[in-house]
Amino acid sequence: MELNNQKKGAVFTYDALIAASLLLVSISLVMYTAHENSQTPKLTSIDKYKIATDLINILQIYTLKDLKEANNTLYNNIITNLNITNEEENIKISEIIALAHISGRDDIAANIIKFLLPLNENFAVYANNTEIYKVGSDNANMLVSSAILPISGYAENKNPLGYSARAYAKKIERNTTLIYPIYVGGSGNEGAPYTQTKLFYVDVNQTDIINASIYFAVHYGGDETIHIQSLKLNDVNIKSRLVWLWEDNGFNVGAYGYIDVHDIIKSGWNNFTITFTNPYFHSHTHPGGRIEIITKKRTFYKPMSYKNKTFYFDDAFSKEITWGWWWRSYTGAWEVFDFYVPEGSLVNNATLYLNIKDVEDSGGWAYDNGWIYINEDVIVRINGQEIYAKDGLSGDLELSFNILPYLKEGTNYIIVYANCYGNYFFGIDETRIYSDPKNDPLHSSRVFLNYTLDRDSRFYGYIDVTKSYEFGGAADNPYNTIITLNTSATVQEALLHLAQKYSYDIEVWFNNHSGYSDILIYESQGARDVPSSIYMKGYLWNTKGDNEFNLIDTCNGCEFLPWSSAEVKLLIPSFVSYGKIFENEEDAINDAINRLQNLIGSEINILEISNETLSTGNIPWMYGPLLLKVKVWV
Amino acid sequence: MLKAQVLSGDYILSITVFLTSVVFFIYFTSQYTEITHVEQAKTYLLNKANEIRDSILYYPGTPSHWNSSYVIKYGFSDKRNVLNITKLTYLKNISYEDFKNAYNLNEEVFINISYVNGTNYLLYGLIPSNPSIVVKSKGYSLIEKKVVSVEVQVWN
Repeated sequence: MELNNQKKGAVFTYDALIAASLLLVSISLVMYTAHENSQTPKLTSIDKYKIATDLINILQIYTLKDLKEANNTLYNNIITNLNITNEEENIKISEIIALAHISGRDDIAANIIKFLLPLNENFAVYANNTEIYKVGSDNANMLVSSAILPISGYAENKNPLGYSARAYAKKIERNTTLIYPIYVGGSGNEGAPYTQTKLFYVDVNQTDIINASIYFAVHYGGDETIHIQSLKLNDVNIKSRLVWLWEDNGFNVGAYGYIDVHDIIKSGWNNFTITFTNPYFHSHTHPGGRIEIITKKRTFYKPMSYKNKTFYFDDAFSKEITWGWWWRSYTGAWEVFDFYVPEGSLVNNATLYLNIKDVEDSGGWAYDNGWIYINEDVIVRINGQEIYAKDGLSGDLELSFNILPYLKEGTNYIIVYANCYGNYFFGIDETRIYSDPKNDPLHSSRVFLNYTLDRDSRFYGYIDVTKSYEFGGAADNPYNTIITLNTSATVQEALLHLAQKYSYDIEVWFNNHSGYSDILIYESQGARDVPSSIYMKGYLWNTKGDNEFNLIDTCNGCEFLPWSSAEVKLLIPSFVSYGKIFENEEDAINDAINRLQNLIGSEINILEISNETLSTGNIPWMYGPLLLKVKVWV
Repeated sequence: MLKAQVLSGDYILSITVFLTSVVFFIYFTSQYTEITHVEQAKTYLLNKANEIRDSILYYPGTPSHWNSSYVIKYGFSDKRNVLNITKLTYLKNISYEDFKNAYNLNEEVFINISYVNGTNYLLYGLIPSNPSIVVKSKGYSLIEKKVVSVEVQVWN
């Protein structure tokens, strides 16, 4: 029987069998090689990390004191070579290791570790990647785990022992400026004389008065020989010393003058008097007048939380002239009186006292703004509000007002009219706004303030200096000026004394180029409302840069004069705290003295400095972290 | 007449190779299964050993002032890496079965706390004897300001 020639089945071909065999062998080999280790690498890694962490924790717990009890020899070695005092025995061993490394004594660090951790374990300790100690050898194929501890470090290459010093000025001497504003007042009508008297008290020893000047602004008939009838300081004729810094042309002129009076100013009460006339208008003073005295001062600032302050009017005396029985010039006295309430004050009491002499009910009248009829004999306004206006008065008048409801922080002004208003005068014989603080203070026209001001207490012991900064430049309207400061002082407050050719209605704008811009410092509330002193809060000032003022008056011809000034009250620290560490005490003291002198500045003469030094054994000195690492491997 | 496919020389050779590889495969597969079982057992035992070690080295137990009369969970440290001598004393008096039950352990355990110079401080449990599997978990701590190693062996 013949068999058919059939094809072989695919599954039993030689190739298929060989291929299947190879496949089975390959799978077997893969399975075999997949489990060479008895533990998974992940578990091993975690285990070694925990050991590394244990060792780091032990170094963090163990202290130098513990080491002293266990190994006094090693302890003494550490104390001696690392300049550690007995008071620091609670320092951790990890910090000792760090200190030893920083001090270049890795050998001491290694000895500590060797004593503390004589382990039968592959491990190593590193400080900032520098190997300090190692047991066993490692290679790149080993399974390694690490634990890292940052330690607040010590400065390298510095002697941990040294001196630091602080210093304070015990005695000082500096120049400071006293400024007494001359208020705006009048008038001598139609050639009649007007006399303004300013009494002011200089609370300084005579020998401490260095310099003194008077600046004053008048509106008078333009011939000083005739029309300035008297110009005296302490009864000394100073007319010959008068220097006109600016004078308008013509017969009816405004003028700004200067007088050097350094040799006439005296300690205690001083008396400045000017009598002048103006046949073409009425004589009166303008804003910008002031008395500036530069004195030595040796005391330190003592803040007072509770203040009583009295501001006295200038005495304004108007006298008429007559021509026979048929003509008289008529009189009238008026004054624009300003004072300030410091920032942050709590005013408890504010009282205005007025003593007006020879009030006449003459039946006179005036027009305000050209159409408002005014016939009151005495008018009193505060900050633009009328608080008193009466007709039918005669004789001497003493008035008292509680002005607390009308006060505001900063500049306040009071206008008093007696027998006059504006350019109209209707008094007979004499009119006077009376003030004599030296001889008759209780009957003098004045403002009394009682206020509480606590903000100054933090400046106790500081050095107070008042400086006068002249605006400078050229007369202009609008007027711009910049006062640049570069001081470590704090500006407590400032007063602006603006001088103008003529004045009417002003705005004062401020920009300190450091956060405060377009600040309106002052704005007139009415015509000719221009005070002699304009208050500024101290914090507005830029003590390390520019302070810009922009002044505007609405009237033409009312240019601001360059002798306008800013009276700035500065508070300067009188001490410096501990500074850098020096190897010797003398260097530390000199450093403290230099810092103090740089802080106080060259304008203040330090007569005596007191200092204290401190050994830095008690002062910790640290900088950014050192990394301590413990590495453990299989 | 053609020879039957099964009696050709090539075919016999390939069959032989195939059968050999099958035997080889079965052998290694069985080995692999054995290895896998062992690995799983080791992992389990190592986790247990780590659990016991951590409770000795790091935790105070529950409550923290536990004693022989009242304990919820064992812990033998005042704080991390600082051993509590009193609690180690308690350990000596804890029955072996109670200890194993506390950790849900069916296998055996041996704890060796020794100073780093080799001197024993405390030995607890059963020393491994002909174990089929033994795993170790180790750490370091302080007893009265002295460094000790703590080794936990779990075996069966």
